[in-house]
Amino acid sequence: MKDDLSKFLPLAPAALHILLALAGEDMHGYGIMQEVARQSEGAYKLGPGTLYDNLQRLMDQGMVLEVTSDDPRRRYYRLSSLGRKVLSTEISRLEGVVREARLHLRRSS
Amino acid sequence: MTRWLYIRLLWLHPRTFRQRFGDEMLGIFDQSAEKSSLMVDGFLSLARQWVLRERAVTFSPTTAADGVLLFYSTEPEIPRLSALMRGAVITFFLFGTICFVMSHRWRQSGLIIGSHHPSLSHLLPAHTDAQPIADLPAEVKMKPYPYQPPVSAYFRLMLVLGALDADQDNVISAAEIDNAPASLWKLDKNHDGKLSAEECGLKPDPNLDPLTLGRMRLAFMRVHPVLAALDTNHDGEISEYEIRNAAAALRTLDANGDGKLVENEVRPDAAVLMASNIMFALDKNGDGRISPAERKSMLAVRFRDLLDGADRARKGFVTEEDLVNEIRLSMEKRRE
Repeated sequence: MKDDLSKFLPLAPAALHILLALAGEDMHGYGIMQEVARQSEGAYKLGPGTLYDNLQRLMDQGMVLEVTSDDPRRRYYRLSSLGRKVLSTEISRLEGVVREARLHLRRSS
Repeated sequence: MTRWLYIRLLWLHPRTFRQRFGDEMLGIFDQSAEKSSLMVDGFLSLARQWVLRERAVTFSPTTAADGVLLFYSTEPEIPRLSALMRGAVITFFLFGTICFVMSHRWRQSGLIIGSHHPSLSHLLPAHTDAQPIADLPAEVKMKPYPYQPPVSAYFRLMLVLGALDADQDNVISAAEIDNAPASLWKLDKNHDGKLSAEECGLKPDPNLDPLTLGRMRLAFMRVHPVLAALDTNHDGEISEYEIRNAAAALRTLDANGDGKLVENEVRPDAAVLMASNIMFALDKNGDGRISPAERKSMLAVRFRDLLDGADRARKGFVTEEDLVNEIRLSMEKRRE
């Protein structure tokens, strides 16, 4: 299974932030943009063009699903089980990177 | 206005992307306060969707239960990236061809773009306040102008015009008019301080008698507008005083007031030229009239109809003015 997920990794920053934003709850596009800005404390802002381009790709890859909502003007997006696994694997990979970075920095200091 | 522009921007996106996300993107645009950054994002998205995203149409016939092949019609899609690349190559090739033709136009003036009268005069400054520097050890080399029209036959015939038109572009520019005295002095071959008709371009038969030669000189200086303008006292010569005032005299010929003289402004009127030649040939005593006696010559018989028409008032003689009017009348009739 790990080999199957490796083709999605590493995730691009925009895709990582979108998956992280959807990890908590279903969201519409504008909600995802606001959540990404909040998570990064305003350091990373997604524009609608970048957001929907990534959403389209994530949906084509099966990591994000479109769900129906009461508001016909807004579409909500949900993290699929595949998306959740890819996100978990990416977080584990990033944790390893951080661990290695800290180790190297400790040695050099 | 920005909303209208953003809608146009969304409209330019690929249809599938636009139909799927266009409304949502517009909704976010309406909610957001940072319109300018969203406009930039819109442009980047437009470029990304058309250039980077593959839109290969998956199309394959399938077989129905009864064995008959089923075909599907697809939505119109954008050209493939490879097709766009080929288009770019073709465009680049055509652009290169046009540039090549423009720079090697083989003296075809019809292919010139950007100048109605291709001329060095357009490039040369008319006036300068800068003092000439004699000891500057510099050499300026100019590339020849890519298109140089052939020198007009009239400018070749009229030595005065040839001297005035220093860059030989068939246009006497403002700078060349200002420099007219210096140009005219170069024609004074015998250094007598004035220009005779011969020095201006007249080439008479050396066997002519002095009286006929004098009449020919006067007619030559009178018929050609540039000589008539320069020879202000109409004595058949351009004196030193007239040479010094040549620039002002030439400007009187500038009919359209554009500061330069083109061939149309210096060419003699066809009717005047023809009448002058006829007068010179028939008016043997040089009194300015063609008398009944002078009309008996063999040459006059050839112009009988013209002379009869010119003498409408039955004066018994024909002047040069009568001839000019009659020639113009017959020219107009021929045009009709």
